[in-house]
Amino acid sequence: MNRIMFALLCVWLMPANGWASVVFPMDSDALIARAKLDQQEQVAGYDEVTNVLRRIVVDVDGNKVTRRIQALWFYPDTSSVEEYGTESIYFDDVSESVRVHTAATLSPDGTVSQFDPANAQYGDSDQYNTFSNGRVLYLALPGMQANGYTVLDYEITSDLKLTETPFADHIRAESLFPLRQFELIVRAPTVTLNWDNSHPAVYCESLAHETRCSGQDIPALQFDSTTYWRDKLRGVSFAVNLDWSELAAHALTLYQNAFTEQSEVESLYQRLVDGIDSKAQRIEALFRFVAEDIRYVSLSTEGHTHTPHTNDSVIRNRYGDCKDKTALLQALLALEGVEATPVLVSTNRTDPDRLVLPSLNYFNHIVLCLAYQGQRYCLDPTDSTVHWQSTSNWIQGKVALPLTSTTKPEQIPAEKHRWTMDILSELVFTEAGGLHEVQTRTYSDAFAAYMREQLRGSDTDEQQQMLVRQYQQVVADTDNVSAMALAGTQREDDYRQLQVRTEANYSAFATTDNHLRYTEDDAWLVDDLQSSYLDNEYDAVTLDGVRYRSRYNVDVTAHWRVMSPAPTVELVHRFGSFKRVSKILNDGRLSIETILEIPHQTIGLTEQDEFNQLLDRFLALQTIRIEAPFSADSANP
Amino acid sequence: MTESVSAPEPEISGSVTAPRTAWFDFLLLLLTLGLYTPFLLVSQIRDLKKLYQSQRKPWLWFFVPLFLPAQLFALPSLHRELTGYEQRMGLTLQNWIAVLWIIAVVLLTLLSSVINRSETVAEFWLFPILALLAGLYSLLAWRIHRIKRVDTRLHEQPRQPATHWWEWVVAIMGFLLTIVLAALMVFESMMEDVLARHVDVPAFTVEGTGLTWPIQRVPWLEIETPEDPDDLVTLRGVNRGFIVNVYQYSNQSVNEVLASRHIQAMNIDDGMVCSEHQTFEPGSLNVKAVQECITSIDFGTDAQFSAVLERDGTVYELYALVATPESEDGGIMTSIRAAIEGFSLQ
Repeated sequence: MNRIMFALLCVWLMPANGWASVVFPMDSDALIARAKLDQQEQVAGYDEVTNVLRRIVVDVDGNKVTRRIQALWFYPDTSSVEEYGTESIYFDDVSESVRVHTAATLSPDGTVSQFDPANAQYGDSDQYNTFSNGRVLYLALPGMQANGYTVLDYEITSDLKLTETPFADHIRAESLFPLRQFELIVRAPTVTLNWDNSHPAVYCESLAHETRCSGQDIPALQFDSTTYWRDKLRGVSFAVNLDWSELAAHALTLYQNAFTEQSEVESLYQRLVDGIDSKAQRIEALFRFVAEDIRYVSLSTEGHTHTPHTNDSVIRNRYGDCKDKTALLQALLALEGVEATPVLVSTNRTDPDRLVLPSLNYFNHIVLCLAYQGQRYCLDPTDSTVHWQSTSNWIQGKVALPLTSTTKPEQIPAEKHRWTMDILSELVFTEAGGLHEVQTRTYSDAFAAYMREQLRGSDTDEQQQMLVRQYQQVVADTDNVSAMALAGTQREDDYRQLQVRTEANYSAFATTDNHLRYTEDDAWLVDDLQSSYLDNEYDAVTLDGVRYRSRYNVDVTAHWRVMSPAPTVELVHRFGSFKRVSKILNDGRLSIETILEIPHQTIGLTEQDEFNQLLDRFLALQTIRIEAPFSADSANP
Repeated sequence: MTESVSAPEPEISGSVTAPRTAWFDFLLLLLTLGLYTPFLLVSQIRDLKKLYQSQRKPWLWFFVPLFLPAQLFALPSLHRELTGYEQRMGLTLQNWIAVLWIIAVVLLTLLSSVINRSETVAEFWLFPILALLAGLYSLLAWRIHRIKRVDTRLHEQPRQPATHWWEWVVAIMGFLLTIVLAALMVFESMMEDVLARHVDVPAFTVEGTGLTWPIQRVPWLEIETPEDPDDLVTLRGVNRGFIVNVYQYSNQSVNEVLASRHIQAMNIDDGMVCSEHQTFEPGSLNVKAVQECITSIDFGTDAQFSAVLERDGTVYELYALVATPESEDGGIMTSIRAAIEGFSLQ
């Protein structure tokens, strides 16, 4: 599975378009001989799945690029055979052709089983509503056994005339499994290529029009689930000799295609802003239209991998992908007098420093950034759940390239507190010693968008059931609760916030003829804290940032008299803070306000224990305590 | 020949107590630890009123030994009046002696009041002060008896006996009370010598734990720890104005300990107002929580303090119960607050 993920990366780096063909000359036994040699040398085999050889030869000749890829893999057991037994070759059936020279297995007893081309299977690499020329060739290799080898030797030829971006490639030198021998040859007699080697175990030398790299016994790449592995993956990169500004200019040239036909934009603009006075509300209306009324459909086939469709066609079709939507929104905002900049985004990278050579291949998304009243906003019109002044969760902190004349990779700013929530709980102790609770939760910005996404597509009853289940999971597993979304779910609502109201009744539990000793977990804070523990083994963690504000107003006057406020808590640490203040209100109720803040930050591996200890302390002291003396005066009239 | 002519003395308006030896008064006052002084003064002033039509109100003199401000006016006034009688009877007394006597009474009364309210001076020191006061007030009685002796009118009048039977009863009861009190104090002193030791260091450390806190303002005594497995050490003030325990809990959280203390405070007085603050100790993730519960009583303050530290799942508590005639900002409260604030684990 993980190899598939790496292959997906590789295919993303490939251009799309044009013609396609796959042929199986099956004309080389050299790699099988290499496998047999390794089998003789490694009688005991290897302890784990091992990439015995990875050899790549890249020939760049004018507009033709040929990549010869040779790979030997060793599989030590049946489970690895089961999981990785089918090889996949990703290609673009318009701009690329595939020649398979060898596809075979070598069993432990030395038997070679050749792949029968008649068994080749093909699939699309696309997802729902995303269409491209990406294809997958599946090779279910025969005769695979534990302690056996797979042998794959194939060649992909690309026609650069059919691609929309300048040539660039990244040859990884590491994967999830150890690599015994790495060899790379890049020949470019007619074009000047820049190259960068980021792996310390790989040695490269440049000859005339040729670069040769090699490395041995390269350990497996290790990373944690929270890590964007593209930030970490090392290898050898090649790219034509362009700087970031030149690449941005190239991308901008392609992007301008959207504006070549936009006769319908102005009338659309007039219709959308009609009757709206506030500029901010007009921007919201324009954004809302593009985000919600232009459905997401990506037609990234030939000629449109990086080139948007015209604005008029997008308006007519009422669909488009990120570049289509971004361009249309930019045109609408221009009529509003708002100047915006298209910004390429890599949604799977967070470290701009790892973009070692200028290339457009790093980026898979585009958004629109603008300045409004002194503040910069980045609008993602593919995200219909978010307010235009809130940055979509999935682009915060990601690598970006503004398409401007002087540009370089940067990060989309991450909000200090991405998950912001305000909880107001009104508790009333009943005569019988039970509890009536009304809770109003207000989610803000990205958190509101997340909740909106959860509730979207459900009718009112389903939403209420979902919210009740959420309450039961987080606060208390009681049947005596009702829940409803108060605001933020309808299009006319303010999308910066989303409000949920719950009402719950708890039967008598308190002794009503003695002092009150009551404790309650600050449930929503607890829920967040419990999910915030870090257990990385290899990498630092970048936290999204949370801010929870919980307010309790507690009425105990049925039987008790509050004499003292709840404990003040002031736990301040460099990673975050937990603060609680309390006071007695004029009407005798007890007011308790708690604020948990863990801002956006990176926690190093060596700081992880301290961070978890901090969470321990927060959790240990978060409990709300109410102690109040019994008051005969407060009893039933 | 010169004749001295003086105004005739007024008639005696009732029977007065016959003069008696001042030693009896001294013993009576000493054995009753000064408690008889107000009664003695009232009876003597009443006799002066009968003898010389004095305008004084005898019952008011009940309060003169008790209230220092009253002494500042009453004693000089009485001295001037007695001086007048003495001159009429041909008696003399150096004025400076009387002034010295007044100053001594005032100062000793002030001193006894200070000692009585102080948590820093042992009650034992009240005894010599009370003895001196008894001596001074018996001198006053001697002065009045001296006047009575030379007043010839008394020789012709029926007189009450010099001593009354109830005074003997009071003397005997006082004697017994003094013996008992003295015995108790001696016993307590001996027990303190055995069970308590003065803490004479600026910071107290619980042996073997690293728990420490400052000792300021008032003396602390370490006493034998009761057989409570959680109780590491027990201390108290010199006059039991406060008692401090240090506990160690392995199965209670900070909040459980402090919630229990709050309930305990409400049980002491449901009008007790508590405040609590939980924080990290500087530069660490170690939690420290401080709870202060306080209520004002008629003559002073009741309070309960708790400082709680949490380390590696173990909770340590410095718990102080204060019952003091002091106000909130008195020496004991300041000392306890400093201890609570400075309670730490080294």
